Amino acid sequence: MLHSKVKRDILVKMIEKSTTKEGEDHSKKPKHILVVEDDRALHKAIIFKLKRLGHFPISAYSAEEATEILKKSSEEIDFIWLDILLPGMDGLEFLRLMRKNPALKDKKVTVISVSGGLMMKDRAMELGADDYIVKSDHNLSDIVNMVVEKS
Amino acid sequence: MSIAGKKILIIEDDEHIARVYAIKLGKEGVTLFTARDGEDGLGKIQSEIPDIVLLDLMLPIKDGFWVLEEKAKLSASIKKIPVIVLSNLGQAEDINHARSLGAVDYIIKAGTSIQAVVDLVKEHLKKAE
Repeated sequence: MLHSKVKRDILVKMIEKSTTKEGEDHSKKPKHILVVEDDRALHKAIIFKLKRLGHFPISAYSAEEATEILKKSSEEIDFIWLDILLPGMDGLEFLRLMRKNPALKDKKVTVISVSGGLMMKDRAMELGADDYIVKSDHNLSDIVNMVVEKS
Repeated sequence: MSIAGKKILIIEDDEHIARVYAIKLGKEGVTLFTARDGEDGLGKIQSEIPDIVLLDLMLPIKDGFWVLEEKAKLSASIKKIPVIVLSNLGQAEDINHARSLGAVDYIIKAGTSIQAVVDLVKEHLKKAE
């Protein structure tokens, strides 16, 4: 009996080794990222940068569009890049509704905002943002890298 | 310098921008070819053998960096075709990356007039002669 347990443990370890390479950097695994950003030029640049890093960005230009995408394919999406100032429903309201939805409450969200005000950041974090990045504090490549690493 | 008769390929997915360049360069008497994505662009580089290429970076299907990478793998006659990058990406890392892949110049679209682009095209065509 003990012998078979030892054999099973060895087998489990072998499987773990074969599926997880030592030193593997999980932050570099391709991710499906829902980008919710209404500024078309910035949106295009974000998508471009994410694709160059090997990720799979999905575009939404409004919270309403993002909601529709999440309804259809929330399981495929690893995390959400969320702007606050959006036409129609704003990013914070979108975040609040997301966190009320059991299917989406644990989905990672990084809020990317033009506002560096503490009140806005506190509000976003209170509503369940996993992170908050101020656009003007960094260049786009740095923001993209930060978002992917934090995910 | 007259560039009449020269062949210019514009790889740009923004129809409006492509049309503006086409009108302006068309007045110089050049023969224009256009492509809307990187894959089509690389194909036209090989089929049309232009004298110069204007290349956007943020393109659908295959992007501008890919075009530069793949062009560098082709024959010497293709490799030597000058490519001017026209992009809205203005970060040093993008500019350096494009130059390291063989772009002869890098223009940030938002900050450059169409005439300045035409002048640059003339300058590089002259250099290539």
